[in-house]
Amino acid sequence: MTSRQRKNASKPTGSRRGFRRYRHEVWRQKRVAAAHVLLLLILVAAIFADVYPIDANRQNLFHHLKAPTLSHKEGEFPRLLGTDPLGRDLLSRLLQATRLSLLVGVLAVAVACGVGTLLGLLAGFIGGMLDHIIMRVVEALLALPFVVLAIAIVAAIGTSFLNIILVLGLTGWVTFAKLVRAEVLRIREMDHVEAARAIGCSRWRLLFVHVWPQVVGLVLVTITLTLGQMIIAEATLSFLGLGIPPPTPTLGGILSDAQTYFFSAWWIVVFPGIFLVAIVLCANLIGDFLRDYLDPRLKL
Amino acid sequence: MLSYIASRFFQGLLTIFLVVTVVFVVLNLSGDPIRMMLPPTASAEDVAAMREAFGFDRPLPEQYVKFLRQVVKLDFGRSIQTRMPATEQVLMRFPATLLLAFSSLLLAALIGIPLGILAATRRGKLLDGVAVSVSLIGQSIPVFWIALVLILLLGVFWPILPPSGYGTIQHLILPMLTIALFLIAGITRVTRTSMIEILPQMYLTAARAKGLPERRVIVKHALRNASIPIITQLGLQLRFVLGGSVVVESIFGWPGLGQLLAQAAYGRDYPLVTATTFFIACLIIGINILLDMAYTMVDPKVRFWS
Repeated sequence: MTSRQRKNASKPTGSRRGFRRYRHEVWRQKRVAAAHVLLLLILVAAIFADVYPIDANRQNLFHHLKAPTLSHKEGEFPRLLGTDPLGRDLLSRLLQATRLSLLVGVLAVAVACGVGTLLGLLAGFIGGMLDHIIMRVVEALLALPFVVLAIAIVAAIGTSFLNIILVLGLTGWVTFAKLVRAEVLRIREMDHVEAARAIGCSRWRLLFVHVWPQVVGLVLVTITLTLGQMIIAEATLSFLGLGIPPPTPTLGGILSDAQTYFFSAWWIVVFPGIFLVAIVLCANLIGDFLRDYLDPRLKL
Repeated sequence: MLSYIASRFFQGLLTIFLVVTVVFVVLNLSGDPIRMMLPPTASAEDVAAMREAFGFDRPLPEQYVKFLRQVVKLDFGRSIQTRMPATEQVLMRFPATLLLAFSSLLLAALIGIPLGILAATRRGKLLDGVAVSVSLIGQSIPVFWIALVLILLLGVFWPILPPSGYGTIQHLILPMLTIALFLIAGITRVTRTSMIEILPQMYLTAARAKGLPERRVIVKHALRNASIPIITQLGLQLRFVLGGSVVVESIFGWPGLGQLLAQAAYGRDYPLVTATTFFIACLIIGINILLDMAYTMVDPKVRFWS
């Protein structure tokens, strides 16, 4: 092995190299590539939701429950996905709702990941009493289904944008804590950590320089896989009327309103669901791919 | 074994105690539950009277002790909405939820496990592709949308089933199908993965070599060894079904625990929210203990006691 080869072999994920390898792997699997492209499209559409020519909250009862159509009056934009009971344009509302879903999802995952990873690291690395306490709390929270816990919290603190993020974060951190702790317990016994400890590295150096880099992959995968769940959970809460209050359009809220109009308007039942499934499916596909890409041994 | 069961039982009690504490903390997160219950226009005297009636004017530690005492006696007070004892109301809802949960879990297992086995034995073929896609998509569909689409298809476009209600077998089919469709995804995936791990094992070759028919090799020798992850998955899913059916029960008007919880949360009915969460947690912890026992039945190597 020449020295150059060895250098490459020992450093397979330098920033640019890493990205190229990633891109290469993504394009090798059609499904994964499609998920990346679709998610990017959804992201762009959501970011520019306000640019869409029809106002999401403009009511017009003459347009009550109009079916999806391409035809339109002079100078007006067609109601591509139809209208809702109040005559509001469905596509415009869906774009707004998608943006909100993504925003809530990302922020909730950030809270869950921050809290969960930190507690998981501490529990696994410091151990002892702290570990006991954290894991008992995790166990107690796991005895309650996600939705039940979320509903109980919402019942107590009420509904608002920030509260929903808090609720989802406070219920979601458990997954992170559990996975990270297990991983830290494994890594901490590995030879390189032992060696670092033997030459006198401080606790924090051990944790952040020798253990943390090996946990990052797991955390990244968990973030992507949790994102989908968070978005579903937010939609579920909105659907039950316990999410972000109207008139703010949310995917769950739109679906909840649709229940009354089953017999007359299939489109307000079908399209919000397709948006929701598309986002979650993309996130799950990318999460699965990341798991194989970063570490084929990981099992979640 | 008895001492093991006893120790698991006490562990369960400890977890229940923690759950109860979590619920207490959660309900006090808002600082003032009374403010959330009464309309903003309520007068200061009304708020004070209500606070006293519910004991929210006492210091928190005192409230906590009183709360624990209630829990031990399984007396959560009366529901704010119906004035009925909360415990009684929750227990009345149990049969409906259990019926829905177990029938949908059974249906999902009857479809998901064979599908997973077939996918694993025909790896890379068409059926495998179908199974993988089903489990991937199934995990990405929110359960309430499955419910809405099923109602749209089987209740509206081709009206053969009642879209909501309780009482007859026909009423059971749609909610059961909804939950089962969601569960099949997870069961298929886990069965497939664990079967794929087992299939190359030498003892299966040995079983074939002694002339056993393939069917018997797969079902008796492979599936049994692959069943621990499957049981774990079923247990995790039962947790989902018991709690997450909140939405399904609300949509289909199914008078179970989930619907009760949603209504209680909607009406900020604290005694009822507490009672429902408590009993759901008890049920889940109990089921987890039973599942641990089930492990030892399928795999004699697993012994939690010595």
